[in-house]
Amino acid sequence: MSQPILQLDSLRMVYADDTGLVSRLLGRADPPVIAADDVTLALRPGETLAVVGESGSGKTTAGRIATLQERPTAGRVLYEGRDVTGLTGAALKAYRAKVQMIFQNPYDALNPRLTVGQSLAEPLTLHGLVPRAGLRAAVLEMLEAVELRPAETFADAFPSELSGGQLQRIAIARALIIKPRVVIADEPVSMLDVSIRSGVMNLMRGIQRDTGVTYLYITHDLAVARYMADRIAVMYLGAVLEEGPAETLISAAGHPYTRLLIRAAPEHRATAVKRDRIRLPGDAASQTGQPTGCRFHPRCPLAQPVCRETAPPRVALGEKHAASCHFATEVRQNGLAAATAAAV
Amino acid sequence: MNPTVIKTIRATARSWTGVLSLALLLVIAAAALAAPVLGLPDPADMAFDLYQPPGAAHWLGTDNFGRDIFARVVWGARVALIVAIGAALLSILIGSALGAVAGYFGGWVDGLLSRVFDIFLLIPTFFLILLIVALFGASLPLTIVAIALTTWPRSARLMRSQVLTLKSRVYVQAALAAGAPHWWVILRHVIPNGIAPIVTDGTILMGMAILTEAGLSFLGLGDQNMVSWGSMIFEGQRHLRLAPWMSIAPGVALLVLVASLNLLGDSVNFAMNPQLRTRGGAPKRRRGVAPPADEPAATAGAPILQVTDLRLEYAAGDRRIAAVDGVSFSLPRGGSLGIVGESGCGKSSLGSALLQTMPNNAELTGGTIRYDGRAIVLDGKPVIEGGRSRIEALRWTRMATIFQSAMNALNPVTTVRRQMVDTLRLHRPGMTRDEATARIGEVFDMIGIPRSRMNAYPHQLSGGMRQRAMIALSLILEPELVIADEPTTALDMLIQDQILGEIADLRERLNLSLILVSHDMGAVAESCETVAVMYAGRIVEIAPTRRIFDRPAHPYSRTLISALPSLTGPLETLDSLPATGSAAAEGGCRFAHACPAATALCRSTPPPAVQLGGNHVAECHYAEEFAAEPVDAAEPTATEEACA
Repeated sequence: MSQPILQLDSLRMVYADDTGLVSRLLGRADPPVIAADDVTLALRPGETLAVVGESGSGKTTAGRIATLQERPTAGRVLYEGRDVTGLTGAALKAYRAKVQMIFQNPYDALNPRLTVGQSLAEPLTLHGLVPRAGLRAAVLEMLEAVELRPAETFADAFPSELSGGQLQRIAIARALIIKPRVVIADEPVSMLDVSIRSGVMNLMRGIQRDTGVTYLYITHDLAVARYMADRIAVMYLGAVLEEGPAETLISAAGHPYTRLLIRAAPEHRATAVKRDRIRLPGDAASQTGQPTGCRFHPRCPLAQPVCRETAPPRVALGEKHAASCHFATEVRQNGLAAATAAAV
Repeated sequence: MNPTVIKTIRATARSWTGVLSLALLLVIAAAALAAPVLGLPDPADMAFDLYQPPGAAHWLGTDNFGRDIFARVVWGARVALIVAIGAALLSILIGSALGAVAGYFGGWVDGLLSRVFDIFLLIPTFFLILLIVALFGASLPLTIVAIALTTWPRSARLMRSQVLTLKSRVYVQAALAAGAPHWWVILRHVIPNGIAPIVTDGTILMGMAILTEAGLSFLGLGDQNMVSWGSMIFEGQRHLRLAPWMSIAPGVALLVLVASLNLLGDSVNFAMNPQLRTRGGAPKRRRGVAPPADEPAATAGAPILQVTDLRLEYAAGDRRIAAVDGVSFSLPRGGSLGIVGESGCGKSSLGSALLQTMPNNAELTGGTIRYDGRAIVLDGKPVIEGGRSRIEALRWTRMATIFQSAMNALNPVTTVRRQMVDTLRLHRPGMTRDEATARIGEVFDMIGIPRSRMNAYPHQLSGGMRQRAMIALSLILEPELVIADEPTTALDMLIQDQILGEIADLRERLNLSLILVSHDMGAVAESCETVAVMYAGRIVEIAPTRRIFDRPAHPYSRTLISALPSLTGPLETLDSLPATGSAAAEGGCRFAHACPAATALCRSTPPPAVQLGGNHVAECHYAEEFAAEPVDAAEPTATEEACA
């Protein structure tokens, strides 16, 4: 097995609210927001790891820390085994040439006052990778690579003249033009229309085939994760609950939360059986005031006294497949419904 | 030139205030520039014809030294413009640089700089200038510097607030992630995008600078070697009885210049903010029509909602955009219809048209809506009966809506219970407070909100609870038909699934009819019996749910379905529309420009509504060929046949 190219090691990110004097005196200070509690992930060269979670699960925070846009409160980021968490200056710039980011909102991704060509040339200029005379050619080549033809027309267009799908292709081109080793993609297709979405996903897969780039693909949609990724990590309230090869995780999940997510996804295929819905007792997760024991127990249909008291261990379920649940083995073998019935 | 600048200039030139102020400014600037070559008398040239009133020899008369006032006014314009441009430029330069730094870095940098802005704002302009003049003597450059020194915090504060929002923009984040240093990001991405309102404000600054300089000159503190309108007015006021024209002429010039600068500022601001134009305005009174005389009485078998050839247009500036362009469908009582489509296809406009809750710039231009067999809209006009439009009588009591964003739809300053009580008592005047509370409790139980949350304010509820409260509010009057516009889009997977489940339960229990507007094919597939696919303002295909997913007959529906990744089905490469395509062609099929199977026929002739049996209709020339093959077939053979 090859050495991981990028590792997030026990990341913790706490946003303490800057409370005013009065509320501090009155003891009414808001509790700090725990955006990431314990995030450990490893990316191997050339693979796609999808991080799946609801809003507030910490998936975006993990991505922002991986690109060092934010520094973690605790924990480390390792690139090719070296600790890069505290990088600044030239070393940080060199890191950014290797680890790039694609953002969620394509409509805001490009400076409206620059042409597409100018925006695409910017990373090349910043890193001094291509001489000034060669910029145009490099830009056109990249536009071809993201299937925006005729490239000349797109290079001279302003963002306001383009559609969402085209803008996201350009954002992808900008991230890839300096040939990074790793790309962190934060919900790159969630704001696009369905018919355009698949084109962008196919493009990203094609580029990976051609260049061997590594993706950390952040999404809330398990079906998209399955389509894009080799491995999937499911996050909830700032921690990874389950991680495993995409197909294994979807066909034999060991964590009740993963099972619920799979069941909750609407399915339109003729082959799909009409799912029966179960009512969850709790409500959406809150980033303040974490529950004791297992962080999912307030909403878990399987929750037992032990779940309220003891944080679950990380249970290995097979090769590269692990889940943090006291009943992971049972859930994986018998499914959530059977495991719940057996536990009661 | 930058497209935004061009657009702004064009939009400015469209308003009469913009044209007038621009024209006046151009005349003044041209006169000032050309002053030396206009062949005017020397403005300093003294003559013996003192106090001449305006006439042929001296257009605006002469002053107490016999100097030509017209020449002096023209030369005075030079000083006014130099001061205006110089002071405004300097002020914007200092202000936007410091404002950008303060806003961008935040923290203690912002705290420190903001205090500096405040201190400079407190310095009285005249006091500072008196000090400068006392120290260095009166001169034009010093006046400019002094004015800039007291006005730059205006620009700084504007720029700071601009930057506070700009720095979270994705392209700023992206530039940083690409490795750009901070100074680069500020100069290239932040300032150019934040400068527009500061430039607009600059025209106001220019007016202020001119007035300040005139005031200084009036006090005799201006540059004595130059002709200034302020010093002219000062001299004139001593001879006001004898020669009023001495002060009137420069006074009017001052007024015109400052007024046109301010007017220009207003028009540019108006031109750059399209929202000021399109969103404003009172709701249009829509002319109603009387119900048709031959209207049959409601029958038991009548569909609860029947829409025929409905058309809705938006007015955007001078253009009119048809968002709903001839939509027809019919919903049986107790039935459910899903309307799917992508952004801009008109699905939400259709939803709002059904309840007549369109925005002010939208208008129904045709079509009929019947509720329970009775017309509520005829030829695009609301039907009035007994002085009240029929839709008003139905809205919320029989037809309710669930909005996408519960946070915006619920009033943030009153509790959930209070809003529901208000709704109940408005529609059921006899109801007591206790009865209302009891009814709310029932609805809360039904939808799964604990009764204890009744007295919560909307912001105290989680997203899922808030959406449930929104649903409770729409059900409180026991409607028969609910129109839900993307009711779960903002919610997480698990909550979305629960809410869709609850809507399905309620339908069964209350025999509700449902129209679900959504972009989510999966959600619609599970919640509705019939699905309508909208594209470019029209329903291009409508069919029973299983049928449309198994044998879609329109290439657009086929794309939508095969573009969705499956979670549990087989893993296959997804289809998509091409990234680049030509614009939609006039005439012909509106999907032809993006359609993988389009032929010459598609580009020239609008497709007919092809009846495929079993309530399946598709607007495609090749609908029958497409319907004949299931969606998972590799290549659409219809294309090959059509091309052959």
